[in-house]
Amino acid sequence: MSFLAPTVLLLFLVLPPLLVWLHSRYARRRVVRVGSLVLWRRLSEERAARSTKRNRSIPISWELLVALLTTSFLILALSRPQVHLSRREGRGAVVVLDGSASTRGKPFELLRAETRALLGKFEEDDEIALIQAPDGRVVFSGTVGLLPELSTGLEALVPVDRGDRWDPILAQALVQRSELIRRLRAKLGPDDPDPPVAMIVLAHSFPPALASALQESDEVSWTILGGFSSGNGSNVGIVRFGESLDDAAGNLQLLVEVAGTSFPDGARLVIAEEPGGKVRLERGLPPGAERMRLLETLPSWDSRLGVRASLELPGSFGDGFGADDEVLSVRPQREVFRVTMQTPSPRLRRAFRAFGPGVEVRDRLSREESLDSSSGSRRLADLTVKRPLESEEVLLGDPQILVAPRGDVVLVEPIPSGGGVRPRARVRVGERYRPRNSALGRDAAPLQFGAESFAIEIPTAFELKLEPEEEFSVLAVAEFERGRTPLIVRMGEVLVLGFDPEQGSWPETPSFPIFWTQELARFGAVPESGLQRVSRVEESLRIPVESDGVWRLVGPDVEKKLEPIGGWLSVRVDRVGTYRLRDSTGEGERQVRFDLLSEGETLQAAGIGQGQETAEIGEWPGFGEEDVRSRTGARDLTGWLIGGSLGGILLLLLRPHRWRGRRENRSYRSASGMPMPDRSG
Amino acid sequence: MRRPSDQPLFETEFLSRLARLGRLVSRVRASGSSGTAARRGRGGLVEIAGHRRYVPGDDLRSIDWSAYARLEKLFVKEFDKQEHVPVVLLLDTSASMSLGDPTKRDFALRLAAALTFLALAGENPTRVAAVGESGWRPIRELHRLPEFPGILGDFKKLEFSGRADLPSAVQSLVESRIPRSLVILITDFLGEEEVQREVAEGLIGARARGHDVALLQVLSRQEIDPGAELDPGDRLTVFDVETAGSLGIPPGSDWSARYRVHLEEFLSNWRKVAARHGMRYLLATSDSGLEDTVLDFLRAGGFLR
Repeated sequence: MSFLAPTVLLLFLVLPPLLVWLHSRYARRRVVRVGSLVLWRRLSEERAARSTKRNRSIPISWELLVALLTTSFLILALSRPQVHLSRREGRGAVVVLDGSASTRGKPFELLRAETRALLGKFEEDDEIALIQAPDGRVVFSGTVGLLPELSTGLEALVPVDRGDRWDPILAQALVQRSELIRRLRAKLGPDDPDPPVAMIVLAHSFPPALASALQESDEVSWTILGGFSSGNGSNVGIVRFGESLDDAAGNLQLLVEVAGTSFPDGARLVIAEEPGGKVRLERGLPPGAERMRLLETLPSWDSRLGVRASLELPGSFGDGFGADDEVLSVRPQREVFRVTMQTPSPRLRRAFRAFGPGVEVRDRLSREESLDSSSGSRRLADLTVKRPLESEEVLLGDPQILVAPRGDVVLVEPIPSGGGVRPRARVRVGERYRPRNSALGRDAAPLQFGAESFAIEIPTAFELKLEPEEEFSVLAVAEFERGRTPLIVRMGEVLVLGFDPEQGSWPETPSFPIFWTQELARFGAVPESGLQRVSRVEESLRIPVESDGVWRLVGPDVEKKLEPIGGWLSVRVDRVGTYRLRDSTGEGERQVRFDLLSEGETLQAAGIGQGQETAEIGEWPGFGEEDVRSRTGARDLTGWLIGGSLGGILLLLLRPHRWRGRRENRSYRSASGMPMPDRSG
Repeated sequence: MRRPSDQPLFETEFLSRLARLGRLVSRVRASGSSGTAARRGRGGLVEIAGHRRYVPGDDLRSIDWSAYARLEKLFVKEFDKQEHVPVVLLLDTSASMSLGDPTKRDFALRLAAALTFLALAGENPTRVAAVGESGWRPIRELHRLPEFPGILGDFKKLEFSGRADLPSAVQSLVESRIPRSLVILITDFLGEEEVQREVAEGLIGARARGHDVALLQVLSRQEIDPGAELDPGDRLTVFDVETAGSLGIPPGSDWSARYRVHLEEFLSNWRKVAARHGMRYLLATSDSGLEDTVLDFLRAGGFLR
């Protein structure tokens, strides 16, 4: 169980004692008419005598208990508790990897990387079968816990030229599926007759043979990931899109790059708002062209809607494929951000207030709080958004960019002299803007929408202190155009490090891509936006060691000696995997794990526009995201707790006990005809 | 259970219940008399109803000397006299009787009416008096059953307020020239300890004057267990409706149990006084059934077996 806002829990130190004090101080007074005080006087004397012997006891009543319970629920609800669901036992997947001759070269590397990323989403007890097409060889079959073996098998794969027959491959996949189900049933027991086994095809292209083979096995649901193919076998895919906005008219500029070995005749690119948007653009693709870059403008784009770009290709590949396949989509981003602003200027505060409830501004920060360890600068206020943002009020990822409701964007720019910020511009808002300017370093470039410039300088080596026997993983390296930053997971806890060139060190606290942290924490994986910019690990680690002797680094394909310099080992690897560091005495041993979720390189790295292999795997449709969410994601208990709080409040308001007391008093009054005594008695 | 203010105290249904009660008492009495020892005494047939410990004031002629020879303790024989015994019914009209749900006042009035009816039905001359702030206040003296409706009108007019001067009322009874009678006192006995002591002494004196004394203590359910309707977390202020005094009770979880201990002690004292001095005693709550209470009272008083 974790909390999204753990500081709220500090209220437990304040509110319950306050409630008890208030209750004991202002306990409800009840006047009871009696025939004689003789019995009560003894009671009062007894209690008075006892209260002098010991401290005043806390009067326990059901109202106090309900109030305490309600308060606890409220505090817990405000702290946003997340229960991490226990992993579902025994999930399985049959993965068919297209290793045909057409994938030779870069596409196969991409497919392999994607396969690795896919397998990384499974857990150790899950059962996996990996089949290579087109020869139908079972590369691996077993639990994911045997990851080294699986990785070895995956790394050893090379494309083969064995024709284009998919039927026997899918038949093999079905056989493996049966085998996986058998093994899962053995694990789960007979009570679970239907263990989930996903059938996944990772294909570079989508040839008709695969389409027809899939149609034959329609009793099994398949997931197809990969590029798309036209009827005549040419590979076509949308490889990239970018978005920009026209700040004058509120239009969305969409940059779409389409690549293929040869566009078929009649191929069209369709860009449309969805769902139910009015804007729809169609652009024909020149036949035979290998790539095309389109900068389209969607006029008066409704930012609440997503954008879908798809290829309409002539011909059909069977049900579910062909025309109108979704290739990419833009979805409104609904996340919770924390934004730091440099000064609480009245103008900004007005903008903040426009967000309405759920946005808090703290402008009285202590000296310690105000010091930003990542940049060394001081900030004067914090803005915290504690609710999902609507698409109209998307908060830009950069901490210094804020988008107010109704499409007004407030940009703030730090004044170099430290005198605060000043509003820079007001523009209409698009959505889903990733950080383009972290403003972390001295070289921070001026903010420019649509500009392809980034200002993050990332060093090639960094220091990370390791405890003995501590295992950590470099999950991925986020690469920007001018730099990259590693995403590091330590002991299952996501820790995103951002380098501060001014400080020359890696801060312990997350810095600029803080929303990535949340994504990672939630899904246990780098989100799509991160995957797009992930590159191969080529990092050096400097590891402090006690022994000055020779250390040996043992990994999947490497075994080399290392000598510490000044108590530090400099380790550099170029491959994912788990490495072990052993000193010469054999007494000290550390495990270092380099692991990538994906090697999907950026467009630029893939060489689009440089005359290289053009077919490119774009964004995967996000296989398993929901599955991963359901397995390892967190269930938000806030709703339940708020419900419990409301129930408690209702109970306190109804006060059935007080009803009884009133009825009693009424009866005395009506029967005796006497006025009630003064409550002060 | 609660009587609405516009509902008559002695409705037709109540009167028919009294008639039923009369018949029931006659029937029980008739069935209980078979096979018991009986002797002809002055004034009518006298049946031996049982024995009890001797207390000063008892008729020496009723001492069972054979029992003394066996047990070396004095017992007196109790006779179920089928004669016309005068009845004096004293009704506490203090403000405290207005409490309860249903009120003790309503219950006490119905009880008094029922006992008056039964006494008249047995041709016993009945003297009804209210005990209020000025002590003894005769209401009506009845000799025959047809006079019974009159007392109902008097009951309706009774006002329950202030403190009842029970000690002076009992003292008046002792000092009066009223012949030996069955004295029935309907009250809640709630009062200061000193007052309770004076009342007890007065009642003992009445016993010494040869009166047969029956105590009918009426309490409300709220007085028996106030914790049932109050929250232990409440800060209580108890208000004495007779003296207008008040007392604060600090909140706590155990006051209800302690109250019951004191209540039990209070009730036990009256039970002991009654037992020690040969008085009949019955505790009834204001939500009890009238018939059951009357029958219990008659049995406790030895009027029925």
